[in-house]
Amino acid sequence: MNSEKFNSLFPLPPFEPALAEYALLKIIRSEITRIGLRRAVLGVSGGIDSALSLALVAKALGADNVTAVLMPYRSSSPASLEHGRLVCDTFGVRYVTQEITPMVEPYFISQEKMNEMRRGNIMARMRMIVLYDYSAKENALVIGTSNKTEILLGYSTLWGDMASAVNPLGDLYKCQVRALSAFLGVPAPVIDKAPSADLWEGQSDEAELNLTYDMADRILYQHIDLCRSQDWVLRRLAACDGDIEAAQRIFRRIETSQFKRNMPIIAKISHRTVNREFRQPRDWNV
Amino acid sequence: MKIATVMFNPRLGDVKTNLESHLEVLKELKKFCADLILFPELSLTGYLLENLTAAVALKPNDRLFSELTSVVGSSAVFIGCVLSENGTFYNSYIMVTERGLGFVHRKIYPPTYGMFDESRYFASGQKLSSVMVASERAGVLICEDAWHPVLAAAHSVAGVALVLTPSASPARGMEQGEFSNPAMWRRRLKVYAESYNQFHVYVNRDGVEDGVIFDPDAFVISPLSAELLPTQTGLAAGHRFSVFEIDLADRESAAAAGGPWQNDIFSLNEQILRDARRERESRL
Repeated sequence: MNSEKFNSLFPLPPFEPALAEYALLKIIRSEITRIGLRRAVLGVSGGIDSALSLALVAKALGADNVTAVLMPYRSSSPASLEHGRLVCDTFGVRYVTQEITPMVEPYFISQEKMNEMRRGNIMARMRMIVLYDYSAKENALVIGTSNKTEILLGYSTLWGDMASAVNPLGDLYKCQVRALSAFLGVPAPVIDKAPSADLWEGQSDEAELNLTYDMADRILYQHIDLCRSQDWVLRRLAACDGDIEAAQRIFRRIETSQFKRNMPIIAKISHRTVNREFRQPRDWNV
Repeated sequence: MKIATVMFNPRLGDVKTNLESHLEVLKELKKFCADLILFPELSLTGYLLENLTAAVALKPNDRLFSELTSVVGSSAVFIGCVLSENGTFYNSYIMVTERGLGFVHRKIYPPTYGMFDESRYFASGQKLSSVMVASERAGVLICEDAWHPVLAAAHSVAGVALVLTPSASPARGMEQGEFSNPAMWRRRLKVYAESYNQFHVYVNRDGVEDGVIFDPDAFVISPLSAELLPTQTGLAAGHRFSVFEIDLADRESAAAAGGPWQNDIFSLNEQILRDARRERESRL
């Protein structure tokens, strides 16, 4: 691939960190305080996405109004825990550590031959259970940490790490997450390390996706934001000897993960079905 | 002429609370003795209404309008609301003066594409009319209406000097340190001001609804193509406002310098549009 030509034919999306910060703080503040709450809770993994969500929510609500929950599993990388503590300390946020090993292990033992994906999903969903319990315990809303790239690629666990009340990162591509993290002072080791869901030892997002985030972001920006067709993207890729198969993998991932981006199907038998005819804004009278 | 613009932040679906806030704002703005006070699109209801539309709709004879009438003083106050007429809902901009409900513009082009779904809930207004305010002819283009240049042209034909554009424009896109909206709205309305020798007044709302952010903005473009700076800005009952003073002599200066509106041949424009439509239909 001619990288220089690829980068010029597939530019990164424009991004203004100060403006994004202003907008996201306003949205977080509004969506939490308008329902009479002032607190937030989120899982902090030691990765860049949760570090950025933490930085934003601490700024929006005040660090005292945020609880970070570190939820290691016995095989989690020690560096993840260390980075999780580092970002909490950096933004002055109180954290609690809730080891999920004793919660998920009995189930793992009861099952024969669980593959890594099943185990990873259970860990992600266990973390969701803990966060939603803290939400009730502390009268706090759960803040999401999924970015636009992984939402579009379906690289997340339904009802696991995708579950939240407000997701400030959902319209930010991974490159924008990096830019905003640097702008807000997320510690360099957290920004610079290779992205990993850390659901099993040595896991790497890019190896598992068989894609680089840089390439995915550039292609997704054209296809999703600028509505360029798949054919258009493939023709342009051919013009720079780009990785056609990688683009096809991206398109396939978007299609096959659509179910994760929708609410469950409601079988319709009445005239007025929830979310089909009965459409109400979430911020109804609040 | 003095125009106050209020970048109001409504509570979604709560007309009662929003009315109280409008009354508070109007009381606080009284000291400026503005000829016109403009609130944004759907200021009484909020924007992302969906099925709340019917619940927040008002009849033109609603008692609420008399409450407003009692506080407007000598100002003409423009407010965004949902009007219900003959079982149909309109995204409307109404003028209230001390004499009551004086003028209604029903949005002609409720957008239904991209993030917008207005035609699902609102009918299209069928008429573009204008009203005399403080001795000048004023017309309205609610938000998306201003994306249809033929409506700005129609106001010009009717002799409208002052075009009011209230909006609920969701902030999105990024251009040189700002959302795309402020530059885009200025580009658009400057073209109309220049082409038709009109003042254009824009006011966008503040706030957040369902994760969508509205970035407060208000500006005036003179027919000399200059953006006017506000003479006062501040908060009224917690809502941002800007006051502008416009010199109507700008229109005379623009006329003296000459401009394209002076060569408009209305009958020819109509004929060209008719011919273009025929040509299009012949290809279908």
